[in-house]
Amino acid sequence: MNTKLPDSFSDALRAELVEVVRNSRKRRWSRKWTISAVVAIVTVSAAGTATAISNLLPGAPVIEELSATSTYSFAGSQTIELGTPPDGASGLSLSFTCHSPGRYQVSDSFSVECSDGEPNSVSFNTVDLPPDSTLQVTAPPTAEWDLAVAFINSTTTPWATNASGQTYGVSNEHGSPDLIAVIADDGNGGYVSASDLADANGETAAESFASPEDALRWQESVRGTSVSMPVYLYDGLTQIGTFTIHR
Amino acid sequence: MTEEDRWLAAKGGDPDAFGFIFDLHRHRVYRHALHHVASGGDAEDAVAVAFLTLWSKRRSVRLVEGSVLPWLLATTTHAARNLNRSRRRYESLLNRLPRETVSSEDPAEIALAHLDATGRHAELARAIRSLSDADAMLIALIAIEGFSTEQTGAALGISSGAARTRLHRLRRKLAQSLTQGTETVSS
Repeated sequence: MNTKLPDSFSDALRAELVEVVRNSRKRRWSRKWTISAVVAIVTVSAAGTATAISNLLPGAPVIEELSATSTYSFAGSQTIELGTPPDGASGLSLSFTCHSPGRYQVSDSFSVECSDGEPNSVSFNTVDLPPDSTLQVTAPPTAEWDLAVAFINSTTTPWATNASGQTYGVSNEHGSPDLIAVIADDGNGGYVSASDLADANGETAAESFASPEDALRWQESVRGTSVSMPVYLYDGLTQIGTFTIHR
Repeated sequence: MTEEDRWLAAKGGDPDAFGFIFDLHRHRVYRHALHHVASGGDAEDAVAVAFLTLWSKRRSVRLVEGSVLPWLLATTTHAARNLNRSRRRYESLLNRLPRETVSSEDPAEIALAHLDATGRHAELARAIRSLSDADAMLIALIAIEGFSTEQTGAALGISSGAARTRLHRLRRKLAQSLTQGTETVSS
């Protein structure tokens, strides 16, 4: 017997599904815990070891240094002229260290807090070339800091595919693979499913938001809760740990 | 273009590609849903929920030999068995869908198909109802849809060894509640 889904129901359902898919491109709400934030956690570290790990993962950028690193050391606010970028430069690699307590702002890109005289360091594999080849550091008047900068060319490696047909690697400007590289709660590297992460960080909920108020309501409803999800090997099958998001 | 190509496009947000996947598998999904529910209307809801889940969980769908069908059928089993919860989640969309009793399909035909679907596996279907969702998905893919343990394991995200072990345990458990139906479980 070859029973078929009734035509009228089928046609109406198909139209609804196509509309859901079409509307997914328009939603932009609630990006509070974006995947790029997760990857940034992997790359920001002491001694740069996590940066090195990130560089070996599919989807990570391959960085080619096009100039020697220049280090600038100052106290207080300063404008830094970087000079003309070499041919083929797509961005900068940048490492900022603060040595005195206070809050430091680097152009519109990022800010760093230093407390109790403990040095604090932030590194970026690649940031966009600043528009006038200038970086503006805003710091408390006698606060000491170093900035190490080099011009680089960044090429993004493709995501890899496992035996189940899932892509895996790190999130990048093209979006996220099916399995996203993370550091699990126990400190080991592994992958979480993109849909698990999207459920936890609000991306899935955002697909049914009709207004910013919906997004705010959702955020309030989950504030203070934690979600744990499985961390797998790149095969997407073997669980090796958990990854917990605190909301 | 293969199904896999279309699925990759659908995942990326191509509405026509997702429509193609729907056209390809809708009837099989409906027939599978009929095994787990009490009416044609419930089966229709399960079909809607299964494809909505295929979209919302698109990033973790596991392909089996280039097809989403095994994963989709496992999801259909789960949807059919959890209709109350799914209906609340997709309430407004489901309410927009027409439920004609007069359609190109004779309602008596649908009722007969439902009987046939469960009739051929009547005892098995009854026994499946008492299983957990995970066990029900495994047995439904193997005993009702005829997939191998390898294909079933790939769809469910477990190793084929784990699938075989669970199948063996379930056969013993189901044999206690089946009389003549064991031939549908073995092989």
